[in-house]
Amino acid sequence: MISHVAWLKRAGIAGLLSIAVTGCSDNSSSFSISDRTRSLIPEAQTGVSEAPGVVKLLDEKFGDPQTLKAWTKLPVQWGGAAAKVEVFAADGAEAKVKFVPGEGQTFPEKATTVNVVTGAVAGRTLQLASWNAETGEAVLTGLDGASLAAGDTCSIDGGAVIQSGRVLYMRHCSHCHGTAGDGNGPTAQYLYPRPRDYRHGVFKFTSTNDMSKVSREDLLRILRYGIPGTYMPSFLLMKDEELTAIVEYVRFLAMRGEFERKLVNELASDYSEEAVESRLKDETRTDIVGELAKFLAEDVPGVVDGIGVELEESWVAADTEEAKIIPSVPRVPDSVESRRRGRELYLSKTLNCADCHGIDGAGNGPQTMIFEKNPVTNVPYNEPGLHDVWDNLNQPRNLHTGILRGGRRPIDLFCRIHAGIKGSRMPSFKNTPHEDIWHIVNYVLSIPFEPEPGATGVASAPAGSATDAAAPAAGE
Amino acid sequence: MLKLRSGVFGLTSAAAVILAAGCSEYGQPAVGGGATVVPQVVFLASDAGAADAETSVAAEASSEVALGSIRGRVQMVGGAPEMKLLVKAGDDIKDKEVCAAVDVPDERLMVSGDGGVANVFVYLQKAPKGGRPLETPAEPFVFDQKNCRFYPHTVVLPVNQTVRVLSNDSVAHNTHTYPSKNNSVNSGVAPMDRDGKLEIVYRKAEAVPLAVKCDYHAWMNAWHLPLDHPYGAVTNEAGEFAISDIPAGTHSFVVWHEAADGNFVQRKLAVEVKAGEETEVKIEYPAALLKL
Repeated sequence: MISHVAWLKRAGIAGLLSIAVTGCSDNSSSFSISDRTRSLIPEAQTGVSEAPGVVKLLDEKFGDPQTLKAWTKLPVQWGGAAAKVEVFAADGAEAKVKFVPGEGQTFPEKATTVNVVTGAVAGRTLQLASWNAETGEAVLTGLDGASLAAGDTCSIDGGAVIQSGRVLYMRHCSHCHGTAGDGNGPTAQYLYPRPRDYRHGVFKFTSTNDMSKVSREDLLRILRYGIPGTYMPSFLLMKDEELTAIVEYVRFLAMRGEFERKLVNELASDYSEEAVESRLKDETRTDIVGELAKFLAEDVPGVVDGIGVELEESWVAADTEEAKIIPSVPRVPDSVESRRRGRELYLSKTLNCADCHGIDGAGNGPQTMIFEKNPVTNVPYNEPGLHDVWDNLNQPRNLHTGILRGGRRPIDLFCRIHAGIKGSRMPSFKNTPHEDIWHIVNYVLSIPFEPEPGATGVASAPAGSATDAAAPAAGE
Repeated sequence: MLKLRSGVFGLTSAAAVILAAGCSEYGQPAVGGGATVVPQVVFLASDAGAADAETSVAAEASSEVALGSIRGRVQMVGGAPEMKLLVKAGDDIKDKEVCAAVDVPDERLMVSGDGGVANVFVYLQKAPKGGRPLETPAEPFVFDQKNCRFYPHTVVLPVNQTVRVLSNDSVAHNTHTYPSKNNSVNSGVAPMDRDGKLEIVYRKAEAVPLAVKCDYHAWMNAWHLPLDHPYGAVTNEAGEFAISDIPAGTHSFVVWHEAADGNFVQRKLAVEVKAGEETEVKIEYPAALLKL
């Protein structure tokens, strides 16, 4: 950026202007640092003496767009096959190595590089002069006298997936979602709704239960079909391996963002600029920084490991069968009766969907009129209506348009009601009987075709309805 | 590039000629990195090997340490403001037959007749060395709601204890939590759910209490503080609290209240705990600190 120095010359009255851009030595891009990190005192961002701060730790664990770090603890498919060194024999400038594949790994037929993960030369990338996928025997160059030892772990042709994911992401996604996945690419400011900021690790439309993260399948589905009613297009014309590579890179960026967030959470209550300012009433800055140095050196390494474990567990869990929403009953067939029952539930005191979505489903319920405060910072929002965790105004869907962002298959709607919409005010109704959820699905899918808003009557039972009467009785 | 673009847009000149010398962004391999370059990938080991720390803490906990306790009171000084009602019985509000059936106090500030402040959190941020281990009750903690008010308004919870969410109202509620280290919960609670189908578990200790809200009734509010040690309490109606079995020595307690500006009444209240004794702690809460 700095080297893009431009001379701006105004040539005469005509106002002719020429800009000469000289040199292009540094086109490198960088991952942005979050505002929350920036709210910490500089020492907490950069570190104190030897102990690294948030920015340094982010770089250590995730690298930058030119040099990605593959923290193998994280459940990202980096590409390549994990391997262990079984035999190592140096032979002049070359070395003969026999690798054994890691658990469940198969060696690629062709390979050119070896990424060393543990041992004396961890982090190095070595070249394969020859490679035999069947036996795992290889000839390595580029060791410069260093040596591998039996037991060292490596990745054969590692990183191909994440490399391809990054290249494709930068081409197709970054202009909206930003280089770091912060939802703040150059075009983002012109879009409504705003592109997703991945850094919370939260994605709205999932087929996983309310406490689980998004699955790979969910992300892939969004890439394939887009998000109707938003600027997110369909990428159905891309190849499967391209889409899966993007999914892995998006997961990588989401985990990087979550790592940053969780790390800042550990520091913010004591070492934000605001906290330090109030602490200075009773303490000196030197004492505070000294305490921070101790915390960074002694506690933060354990915190970093702990965050790694959390990320690993939560992202792995999202792809398991247990996380999936599976209706306990098949879809209730669509019928007039079912739609009426759905409408009754929609209006009922038990679920009160109308509170946000409006009595006729126009997305204009009374909750959309209130002035809210941010529940964490307690700062009032400037405009009335419901807000999500990204602080975006996030009004309930107008169900008359037939445009449903999370998909219009009945199962999509079932999942929206069962798990809620993550990060938004739409709660999970996981404890509602599944049959009732299906009735609501049938009703919601019929709304765009109503002859006039609210035309669907309630079920044949008289007003006051079975639901409202039954609920208190069950409790007593 | 941004600088370049804003420069161009910022000019009122009639014509602009941009001469970019020899470094096309597209179609050619970029020099020195950038968007189009294939990145290097450096592999990192799964663990850096910091796992030892935990075992040493556990080992220390088992050794014998003399214990003491504290008992104290949070006292409003400088003239307590008048207590207000959040909802007056009969008010014309949403779901008024339930939410305005009775008077609901503004629980952000509850001061007793003699100035004791309720709902103030007093706790240690980190487990002290030699402290007694956390006991997580097998029984769930019951978190209830009645007349669009959470019960209790404030609570210290051991991590991993199940919180069972009940409702004693005939209207729909949802329980929406805003933790910073745990996963957020946002789930509907059916009217008159006396069994408590919704369960919440905090797996991690939080540094400060977290807000619990209901999106149907935006004024509903409660505070949960999950801790991974037993050294935390909230003040009762008289502003009193007690914490027992603290290892002898000087500890610094956090004193946190929702209505205090910046939320901290005291960030670090140093208290000397004497072995086998109960130390009296008087905490002054200046009225000037209030931000309501």
